[in-house]
Amino acid sequence: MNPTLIISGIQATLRAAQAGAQLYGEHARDRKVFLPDLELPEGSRAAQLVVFLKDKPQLAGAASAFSALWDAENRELKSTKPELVDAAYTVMLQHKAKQQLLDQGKEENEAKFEADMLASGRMVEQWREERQPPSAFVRMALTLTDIGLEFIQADPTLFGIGSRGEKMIVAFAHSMSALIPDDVSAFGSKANFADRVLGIFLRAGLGSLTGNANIVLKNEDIAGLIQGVTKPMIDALPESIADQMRYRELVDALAGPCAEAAFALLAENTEDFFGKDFADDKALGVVTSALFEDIQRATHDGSIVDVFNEQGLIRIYQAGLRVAIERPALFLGTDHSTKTDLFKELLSGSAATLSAHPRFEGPIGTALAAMILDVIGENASALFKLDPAEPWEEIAGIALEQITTSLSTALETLDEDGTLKGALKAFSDRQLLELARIILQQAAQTPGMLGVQTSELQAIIGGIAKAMAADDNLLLSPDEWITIAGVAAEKAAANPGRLFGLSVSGDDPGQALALSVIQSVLKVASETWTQKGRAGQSVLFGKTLEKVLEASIEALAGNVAAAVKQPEVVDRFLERLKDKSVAAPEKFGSDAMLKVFRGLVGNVLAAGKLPTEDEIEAILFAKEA
Amino acid sequence: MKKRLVTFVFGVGVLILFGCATVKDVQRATDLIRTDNELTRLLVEVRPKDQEGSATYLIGIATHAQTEAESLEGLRGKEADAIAYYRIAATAYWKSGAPEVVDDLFEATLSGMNLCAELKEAGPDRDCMFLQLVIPFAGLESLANGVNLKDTLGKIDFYDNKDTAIEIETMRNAFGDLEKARELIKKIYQFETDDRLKKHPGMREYYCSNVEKARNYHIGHTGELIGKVNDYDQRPALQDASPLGITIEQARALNTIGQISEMFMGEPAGELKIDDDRYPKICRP
Repeated sequence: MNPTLIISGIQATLRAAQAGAQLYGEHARDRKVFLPDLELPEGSRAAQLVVFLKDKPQLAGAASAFSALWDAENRELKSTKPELVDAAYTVMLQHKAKQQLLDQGKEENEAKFEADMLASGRMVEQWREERQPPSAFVRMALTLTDIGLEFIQADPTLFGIGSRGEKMIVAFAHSMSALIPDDVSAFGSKANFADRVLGIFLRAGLGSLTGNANIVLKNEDIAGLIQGVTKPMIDALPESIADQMRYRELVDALAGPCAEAAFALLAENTEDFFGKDFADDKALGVVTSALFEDIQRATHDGSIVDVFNEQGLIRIYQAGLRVAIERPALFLGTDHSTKTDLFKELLSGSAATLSAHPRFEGPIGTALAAMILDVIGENASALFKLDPAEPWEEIAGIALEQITTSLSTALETLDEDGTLKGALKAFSDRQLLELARIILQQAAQTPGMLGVQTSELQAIIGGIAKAMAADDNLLLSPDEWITIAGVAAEKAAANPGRLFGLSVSGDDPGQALALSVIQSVLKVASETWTQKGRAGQSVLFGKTLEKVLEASIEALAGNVAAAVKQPEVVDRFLERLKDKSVAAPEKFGSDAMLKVFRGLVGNVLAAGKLPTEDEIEAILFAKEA
Repeated sequence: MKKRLVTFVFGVGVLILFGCATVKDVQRATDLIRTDNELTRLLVEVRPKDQEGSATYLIGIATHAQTEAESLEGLRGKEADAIAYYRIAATAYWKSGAPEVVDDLFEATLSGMNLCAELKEAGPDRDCMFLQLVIPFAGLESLANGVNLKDTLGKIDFYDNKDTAIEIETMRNAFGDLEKARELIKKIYQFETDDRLKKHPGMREYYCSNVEKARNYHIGHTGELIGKVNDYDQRPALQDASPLGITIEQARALNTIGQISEMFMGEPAGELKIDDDRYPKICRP
């Protein structure tokens, strides 16, 4: 076998195919076709007995019913007397029934269509053995050529000497041998399946070229994808027909989108990875093997396909691939061996977590898991420095658990009328996801904030969720809450154990400092709004309220000695400013209130004393720096 | 493998040199695939439920395929395409079971076989082998379904002393029909000497499973006829009334098809008996 010769053949055919498609014609003539069988009428009972006894002469003497009418010497019927024929026929049926029982189960797993065909004819290939394509290698070459021809019809510009399409097909052809094991006989029934999967990937690859005029792919990239993504799909093909039926169905549904996802990442990263290898095939292999081995595994809770659904799995797979491409070291041991169970455990762990929280079933849960994978993967090496005591996949699993638990708790606490509490009722799934992402992103960028033993992330999300639940009058929009959450997370990250760690209540350890301050501000804003709405001339809502909360949270990073002991000091300060704004609206609008609040809230939190009129006036009339 | 590879690359090279492939070739290849698929659909899904209704469609497919095949005749390099269309036409005519297309069946089959003969070893294996089988297959099927020996031979009872003259007439007719069947089966058996079968497992399986059907049909009915002759011979009273006109030797001879070749698989072939379980050798494990 000379691969160069094969590849030359493919190239030449593709070029020739621009003027025609002889190979396609050859395929049309040479593929297997159905040849029908003879349909002859069944004989009478006597005729059936003759066939039976000629084929099974050893039985002729075994039953008196047979010997009564069968001449064993001449192998013919001595008589066709109806009573003799009927008796012998009954014995024959008993023998046949016994044989049928022995053979039972043989075709149980045959597809119906195939069974119908076998009953009335058979599929027959064109060529004798010596003239057949003898190996999976040649068959794959023909598949690649076939698909190339298909694309030539659709987009002739993709092909030509040295063109992008031709280069891609050649790169695939170069990597075909990677799919075939050294022991070719062991490949057996996988040959056709491998051929099909390779075809799916080539289609996805050529499709990505068609859709992106600038993309240029290197041979190494294609080889990496074939070794890392295509091969694990083939290797995971189970042996039993029953298992294969399910697996093939899933591969039919997943392989195409997975291939598209892989090529999309390749296209996306071509420029970023310019000059260096795009992907480590081992890392890609870990992700792909995990997915395609895990989809076969069913637990008592169902399989991961049931939890994530096919669309969700592709999304998570894409997130995993992205991590494998950008941080291959996360999937490899120190000796460059592969951490084969890593992604598998991550998948099954995520499925278990999401199954335990019904609120996160379906697309939102999937999106959450994919987002966490993205964020943790992106920051993993900086965060944990690959500390074996804090493996990143466990951190990702714990982060998912902490986020889903804290959000679920908040979302499951309902008002008396059965609706969600406060601002939570206004949140869409997308906004919930963004809220989690912004906090997680901050936590992931802060060394030591995420870990197997730490629960700071849960405290922050739980605290913010509780604060949002207190916004009964919807004074802030979900997007404004997301901004506040971002600030809170940033400050909490910079001040370990402070904002959401310090409790202001001896009775309630969950009443964190930041939560208490946010609730105080909301209380003042709500009181005014509840009493008179906009007529009350309150400015504490929307953007102004958002800025006040931001300023409060930022101030919590400073001296908060008094606030810890008497958190209501913030209420009083804000009440005072609010009264001033109502009393002299011409002088004390939202900008003035913000200016004074920002300027003095630090002192209030530190000393626990409200500012004097002079201090307020000084801030109010101070010239901008 | 190497031969195939060289053919593949050489064929491609020729293509580049002459640039002879055209869009029409692609369209034809697509049509060939579609026509084959439609034939399969009719045979597997439609015909088992509605034999009469499917006949019209099968004749339609056959006519289309035959027209396509004839349009390719004489065109250099298109013989294999023409043979594939003839194979489709022959199959569809055969399975339509319509007596009015028998002539077309012969026409399509013989035209295909002629092209195969022209191509010699280069002819497409499956299609050329199938074309050699289709007429004896169709002939046997048509004969068997037409005479329906189960309802004629199977109803004869020489022990009931009723309608014996009619039964004797039926026996003679059955004997004649089985003689005709023997000739068709002989043609089918003769095909086992084709060396291509040895190297084409798919076609060999197809051939052998159908030989088995033909054999069982013939030996079953011939065996029944022999049994009836024995019945008749055991009733001397009947012979006095009217001779049967079929001896036991003549009846047994229905299972003998003579010598189909001098040597087969390194052994003298000898006289072939349909009910000899050593034949066809190619189908024996």
